[in-house]
Amino acid sequence: MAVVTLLVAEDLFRFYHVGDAEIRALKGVSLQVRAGEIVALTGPSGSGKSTLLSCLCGLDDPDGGTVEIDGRRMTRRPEAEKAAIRSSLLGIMAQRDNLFAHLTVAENVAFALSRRQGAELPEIGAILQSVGMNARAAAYPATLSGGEIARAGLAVALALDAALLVADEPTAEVDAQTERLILDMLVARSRAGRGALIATHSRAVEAIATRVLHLRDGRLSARPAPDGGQAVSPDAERAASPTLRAPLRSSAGDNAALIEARHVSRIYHPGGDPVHAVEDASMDLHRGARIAVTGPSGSGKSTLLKMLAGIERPSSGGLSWFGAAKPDMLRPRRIGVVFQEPSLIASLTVRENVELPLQLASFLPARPHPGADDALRLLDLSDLADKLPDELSGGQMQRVAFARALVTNPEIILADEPTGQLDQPTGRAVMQAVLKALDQADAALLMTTHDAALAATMPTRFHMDHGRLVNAA
Amino acid sequence: MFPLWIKGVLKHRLVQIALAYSGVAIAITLVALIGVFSVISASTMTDRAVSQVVVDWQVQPRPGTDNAGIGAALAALPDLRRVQKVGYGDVSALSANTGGTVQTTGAAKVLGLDPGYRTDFPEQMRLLLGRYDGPLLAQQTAANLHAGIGDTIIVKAAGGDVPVTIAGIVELPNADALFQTVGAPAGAGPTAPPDNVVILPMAQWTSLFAADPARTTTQFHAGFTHAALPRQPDQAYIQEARSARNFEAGIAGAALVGDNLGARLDAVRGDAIYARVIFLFLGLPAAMLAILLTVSLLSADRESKGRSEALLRMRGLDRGSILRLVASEETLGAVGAAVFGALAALALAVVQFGGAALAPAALAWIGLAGLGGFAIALLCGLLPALSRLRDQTIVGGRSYFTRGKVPLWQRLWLDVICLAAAAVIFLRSASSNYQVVLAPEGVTATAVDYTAFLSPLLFWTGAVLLTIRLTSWLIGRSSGGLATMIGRSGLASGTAPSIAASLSRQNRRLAGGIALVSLAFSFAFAIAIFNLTYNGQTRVDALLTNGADVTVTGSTSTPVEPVVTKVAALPGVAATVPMQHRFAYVGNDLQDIYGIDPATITDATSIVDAYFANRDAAATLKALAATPDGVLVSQETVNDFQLALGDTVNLRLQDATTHQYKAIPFTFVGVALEFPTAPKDSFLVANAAYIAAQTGTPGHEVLLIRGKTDPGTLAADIRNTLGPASGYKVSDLQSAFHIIASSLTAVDLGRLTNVEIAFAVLLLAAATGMLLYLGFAERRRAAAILLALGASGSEVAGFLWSEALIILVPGAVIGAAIGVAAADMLVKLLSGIFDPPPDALSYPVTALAGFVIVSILATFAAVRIARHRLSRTRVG
Repeated sequence: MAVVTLLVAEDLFRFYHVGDAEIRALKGVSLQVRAGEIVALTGPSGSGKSTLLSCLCGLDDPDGGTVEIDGRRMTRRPEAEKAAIRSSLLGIMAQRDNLFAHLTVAENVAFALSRRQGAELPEIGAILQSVGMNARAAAYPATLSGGEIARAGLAVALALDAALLVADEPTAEVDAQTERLILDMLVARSRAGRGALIATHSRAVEAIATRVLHLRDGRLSARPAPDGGQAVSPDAERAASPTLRAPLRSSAGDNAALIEARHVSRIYHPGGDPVHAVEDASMDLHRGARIAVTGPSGSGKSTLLKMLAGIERPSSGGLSWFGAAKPDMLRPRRIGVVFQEPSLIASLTVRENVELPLQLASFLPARPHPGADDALRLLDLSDLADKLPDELSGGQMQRVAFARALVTNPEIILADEPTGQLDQPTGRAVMQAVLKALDQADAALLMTTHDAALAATMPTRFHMDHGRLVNAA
Repeated sequence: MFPLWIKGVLKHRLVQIALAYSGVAIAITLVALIGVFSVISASTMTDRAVSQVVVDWQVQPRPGTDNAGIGAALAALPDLRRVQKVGYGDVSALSANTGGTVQTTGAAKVLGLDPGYRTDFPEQMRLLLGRYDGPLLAQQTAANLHAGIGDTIIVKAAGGDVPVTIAGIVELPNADALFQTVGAPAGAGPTAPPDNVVILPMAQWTSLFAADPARTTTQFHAGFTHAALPRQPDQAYIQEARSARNFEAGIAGAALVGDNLGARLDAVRGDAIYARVIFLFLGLPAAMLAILLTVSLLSADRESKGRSEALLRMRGLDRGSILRLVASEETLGAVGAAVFGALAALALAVVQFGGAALAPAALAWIGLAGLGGFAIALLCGLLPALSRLRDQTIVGGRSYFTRGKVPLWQRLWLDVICLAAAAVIFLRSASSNYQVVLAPEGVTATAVDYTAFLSPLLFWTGAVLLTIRLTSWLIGRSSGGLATMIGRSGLASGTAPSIAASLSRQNRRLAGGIALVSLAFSFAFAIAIFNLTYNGQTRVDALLTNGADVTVTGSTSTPVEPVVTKVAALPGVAATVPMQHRFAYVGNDLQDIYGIDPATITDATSIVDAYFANRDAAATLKALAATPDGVLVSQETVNDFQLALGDTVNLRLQDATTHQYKAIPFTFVGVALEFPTAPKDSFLVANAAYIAAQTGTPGHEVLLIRGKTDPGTLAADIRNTLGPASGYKVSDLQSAFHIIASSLTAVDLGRLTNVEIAFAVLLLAAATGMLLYLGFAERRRAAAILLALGASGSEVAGFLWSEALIILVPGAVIGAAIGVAAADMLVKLLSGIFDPPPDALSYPVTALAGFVIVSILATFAAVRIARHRLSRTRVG
């Protein structure tokens, strides 16, 4: 029986114009995805992966080339035809904004299901179960963690049971267990004859892919899957990951703690019922410390980090910063924060976003600090200085956020999934640059991450599960 | 799909939708109220016009026809309420021997009335002295003959001199109509009423003219019930004119109908159309502003709406399905706004007008406004969505900020085209004898020059678009300047460059906000200025009619001098100035002549520039004062007699000694177009001292009084002081409002403009406060990022205040300028309603300051609430 080709893209070009400059995001990209295939699309951040997926799904109009989905032309066709193709053949998960803010997770899935015709509809619960989100079915998107948002978005994309799933970084912010769940689901879909095109930085996704395509500078090259299409375990991936050595400093050094957390808890009441995001967590953060906090998405990592940063108040317990009970004037002078979601101000350029902390009244330049251009250069972002955030890829935005956190030369960096959107080489390069800068300043780093390999490079590791913090190393 | 979507919207976005659609509710209420005002004011104008008509028809049988038949035909008319037969007779003269001298008048008119006439038509005459049951002498005739109650005058009839003993002196306030030439051709000028009138009981009149019936005519004076008259004056006129023609046709032309009711409605319908035009001029910008506000409020969250629509497209929904979803969401708001707006209009209309607001026409207006508002609101929600769906890629729709492109109108220079067209149309109108309303007398057809609307409409549109172009250009290119300004103003210090860069990049959105605020300000300013100017001119009009706040009118035989001291001593009197009012012949034309002291006349009344052809009241009065025998002459007389400044004009005035008219030389020093208490067509103004010296009568017939208190109260005090039998007539400004020639004053424009000003305040508050608040809510994410980075509350407030003030300050300044220009344009285009036209615009300083304060308070509230809410937003 002939194998059905679900997607054919021929010679795709996409140019952008920013001011007088022309940016060539895609330079003659051609690819195919057949039924039953899982194609992993890799490449450094900013290489054009999201642009390529947008052009393939008809979300953006390429400047040249053609796209066919299941034999139906997608490019340069009336919007109604493109909508029909998306509705009947494509399940799309973008890097962000996959959920309607006024609908709960379950309602978002139900809304997607309402578009599905003919066949018997699956249970919403089953779909959410497949991405580990059934416990958060009634939650609104604004109350979800970054990983939960990604999983809910994937659930919506899966609800259509489309012939071809196109997903942009579906596992970027999920823990290993959830990633396993998602990978199993993708493999099962593949066995059922469904296709998938996944833009990813994850070695685990690459491992289950039947083909891996690498996009660099707008050009595509083929790369064999590491394990012939079979899934690899996160442990295997961790073992294969490049080494990133942080200086071996203990969080319990002889110097006074910069931040002390004692039995802190945070309880939310999203729908009236209490949700214990963090329960009885205690930790010290000393000068020069390197701490990784791992744990499944929704386990309370981000909430803990926000409490340590003085952004959220604990419901109970005590926190002190530099010996003071109140977090006054700490950010951005003494504490720099990198958030999980894109956190750049949309109407400011990259340089202006990085300069912003230097302009705040709470920043008193007691210590030498780099200029905005130095910080951008440190993270290899000089070329993007005059771009607006919407003109960046997710990974580039994350790097800019890091540059913004470093620009004040703070004593502590608190980073929430700082490399979630980055490919591993870029992530490694970023972390090396960050660690070097922090070493020079004798600054502390606490980061939450799902990247086991990255976490393993930190001398101090904590694990969070259901709001409880335990020392993992 | 739809129930799920709507349920989510109701749970999550109800407050935001309610706020966004509040603009629609305001628009509906405003438009409905304007409509109700229009309907009710037209009805009021008809009622007042009808009530001013003393005798509806004066039916005059043709010579030789059967009067009884005419009477019977009239009696058969279904709406007839009363009818009286009136005899008119001409005599060659009247004479009287009083005070040792004999006075003889020219030709006189003798009326014969049945005893029931006064009961049926009580407004036809007013008894000044004596009693009704006997021969009556008209006031002016009594003055000419120096005759009083009980005196005997001689009527020089064809059959010989007939002595008549006078029982009473009457005023004939309706003399123009009473002595009209029935059947005069259309367009013929009005006939002056006779100078000398005697009214006799019908039996005595019949006996007087028994010998010479050829010198008599008979009329039937008829009054009708008016229940079936349409409420609109123009329609009422058409129906009335048709009834009169039907009657004439029914009696085969045996009689002519002097249709006083039709003539009055004819005069009023022009004003009614003017009133409608005013409603349009005042209402249209308000409605447009309200619609623009609606569009702006609805599009305040356009970025998140755009992202939501892009996600729907990504999920494979086609354009139709998305539009249906958007429509279902917008319908919620539109229906709520329509119902709320219509109910609010109904409640306000009932409060304003009572039961009249429940009339079918008023209810229809409210219903139509509600339906129209619903439709417009729906379109305001759907059209931007349609535009986004058609013009944006899905990726474009999902972005948080994009570098915008220059809009089509800007590329087409539509703003400049609109302004140029407005200037051309306005200059064309202003340079010609332009009349926005044409209602030729006696012709049922009327015309409104609706192109007049184009000029202010294009001006407003062009000015607002130009505001967007210039402010967008300026803000987009002055990031550095903005930073300096923000820093120096203390709104922000270190963050000023970032605030400036962010705002500069959002130049189009800010320019839109500035344009909306400027539109709201311009509307508020234009309405307030027009209102005060209109009210001021209405007062000038009333002052012109009444002469002063309060006027005491005597006669040559009862001058005001004896009461001047008594009146001046009253606590509410600020100033008293006596003025002569006599009559003088200019050739054969008897005209009113006013003797004044040019140096003191302005103590008691306003003499404005528009009263004189040279538009300079001070210079004209100075010229009169400098020329003791000077006289100001009306334009009509100047034209008739080809006068030039400095010419000698010989006028004939009555001499006190001989009681005969004698020629007195005057020097023509200026042209008067209007003068307090003077008739509109022909009159003279001279120095009182010269008239007194030449005629030997030093007295003054009129006392002009400027009051310190309410004119109505002061007039009552003066009446009490003078006593009921003083023979003086006391009139005040308030009563003059109801009798001045232009029935436009019957339209309670003050109440409408008060409502409009109230709505202007609402729209202003919405355009500043609510729009800013919704805009801030849309930028919740940016504020959360700032707070998380370590920005203090005051630094976030710096972002909010900078944006608010960049919108408010230029918006207010530009809006004020546009408002003043628009008010000036409105006044000039509607010059037909001003009599006389205003010298300059009047500025209601308190109201204008109030607008500024309201906008500042609304902005302050928006920033405070937004700051409070944004401080609770989290990122990450």
